[in-house]
Amino acid sequence: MLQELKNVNLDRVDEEQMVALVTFGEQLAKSYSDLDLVAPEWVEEKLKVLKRELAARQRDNLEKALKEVQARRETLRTAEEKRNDLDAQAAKLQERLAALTK
Amino acid sequence: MRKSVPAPTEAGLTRNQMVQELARSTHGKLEAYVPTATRAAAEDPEFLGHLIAWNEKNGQVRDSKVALPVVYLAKRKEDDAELLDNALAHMALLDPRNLVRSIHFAHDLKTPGAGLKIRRMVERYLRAREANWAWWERTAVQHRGSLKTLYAMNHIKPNAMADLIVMKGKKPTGTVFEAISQLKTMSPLEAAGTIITRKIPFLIALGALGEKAKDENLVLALIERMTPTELVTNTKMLERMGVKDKPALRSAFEEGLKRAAASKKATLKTTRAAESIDDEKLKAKLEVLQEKQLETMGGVEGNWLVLGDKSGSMESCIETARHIAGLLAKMVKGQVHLVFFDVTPTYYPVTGKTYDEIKKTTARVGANGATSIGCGLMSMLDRGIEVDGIAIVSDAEENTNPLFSKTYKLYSERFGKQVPVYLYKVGHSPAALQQMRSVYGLYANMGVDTLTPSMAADGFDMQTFQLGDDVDYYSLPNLVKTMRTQRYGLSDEVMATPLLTLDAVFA
Repeated sequence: MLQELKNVNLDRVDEEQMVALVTFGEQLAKSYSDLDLVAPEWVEEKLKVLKRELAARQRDNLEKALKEVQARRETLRTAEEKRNDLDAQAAKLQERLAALTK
Repeated sequence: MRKSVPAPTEAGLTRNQMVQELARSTHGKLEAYVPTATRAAAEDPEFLGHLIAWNEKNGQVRDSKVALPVVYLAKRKEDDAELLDNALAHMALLDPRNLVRSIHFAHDLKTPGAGLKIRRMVERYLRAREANWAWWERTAVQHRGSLKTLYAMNHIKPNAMADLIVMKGKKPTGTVFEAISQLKTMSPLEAAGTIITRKIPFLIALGALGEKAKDENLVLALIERMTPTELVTNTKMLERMGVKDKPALRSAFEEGLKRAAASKKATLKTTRAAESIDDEKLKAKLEVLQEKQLETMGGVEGNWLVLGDKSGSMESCIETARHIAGLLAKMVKGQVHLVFFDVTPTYYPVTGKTYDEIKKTTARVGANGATSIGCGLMSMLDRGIEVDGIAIVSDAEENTNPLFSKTYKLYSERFGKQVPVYLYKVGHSPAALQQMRSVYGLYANMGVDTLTPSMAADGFDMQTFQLGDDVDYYSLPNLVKTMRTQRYGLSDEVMATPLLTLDAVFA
């Protein structure tokens, strides 16, 4: 685990492994502190890198979930809603055309 | 358990040989299975029956799943109702496209006395799907052409819905067929939602969308619908579509990789896909995926020794030995030792290492010198390292002492057991032979396998995988997977796999 944390490559680890490494890293940092020792710089650095990556992946996951929900919602639109949307689009285009011909 | 037919004698085909021969990929050439499977059908039909069942559960090569039941039907010496039913049941497990392939193959081989049984099986196959709309719809979406062929070539009358959709190509209102035909005219968001909610298969959706498929919402939906194999084989396309840079796509791809990691199907294709990717990040992800898939494959256990021949012109042995060591290191929980030899051994502990790591560690190993396979094993004896199985990668042209068979005898006495020995026999291309002649001149036993006869003369068993002079590295996982630390372990495993019945398939 120590070597894994030291040499962590973000392209080769999944979220599960990252969470495990963060848990280990935090425990390691705490042990240094409990023993009144100064933790090596790399511990803090690796923890930062891992937490940043986890947050980024969490954002990615949320974006994906949102897009999926929006896509599913789109399939539930009624013909009436679609017609209203198209009418609104047509009205906007007519407005722009009218503005150009003035 | 049925009464077992004795395994063939040394004059025939051993059960391990049957499994190993049939674990090879023939790259679509079904007829390549005929010689071995024909002998198996004649010499040990019950084993072939169980092998068909085992292969269906554990095999990675689809062609063998298509070919073996048909070869059994074509080459059986006598009618055994249980084995016949087993072969037909395994044909009935194929998807329509491969069932059509197997029937064409059966026509080519001729299956005397089984033609009507095949036709009846196909009718049950089609009727079972017709009786379950969701199953039938799912099948017809992906295999309309093959279903049409199955109805037509077997003169089976489709039911009304099948006739309308498969034979006449209609798309009834409210069905998924109508939805697919409308994908092109929908907004990208609606099309994406339709693909996800109607579970439209990736290839069908991709074909229906055309150019529109590049839209981010649609790429996301397509990734969701990809099978593990489709995900790895289309990674390059996904890279072009922004899977690396767009957050939602990145997340979908990661999720797809997680699904693929649990799959036992795509291992060979993952290797190929990883090699074709230029982007280092995606390449690393696919390599990790392959390592996970290898761990999932399982089957091989214990501590292993890989003896890699690095004598003159044996470059392909060096590379093959690295691959085999890498595969074993991922598959087994035990230790893996790699020894390269000419007339002196060089030892590398490779437990838990990836192929890439092994390649880096052994980068300076070059091919030259004479051949003493025994010196590799002698080095293990000197170190007191006990293994449960040995894989030799060599041309088997041993010409220098200590000979392997003699050292193997000492090794067996020292540890009180005869561990299984597997020979991955690599051939020489004409160019390599020419080079050897020019470098070393003509020497005794040039081009002659001396290892096999010396092992036989000393009364030791050895399984041989013929790799030829152009090693297909993608087939290696299949071969490695069949290695066992108990001599007859694999054969026992195969025989323990229950035969299948048509009633069980259609239950």
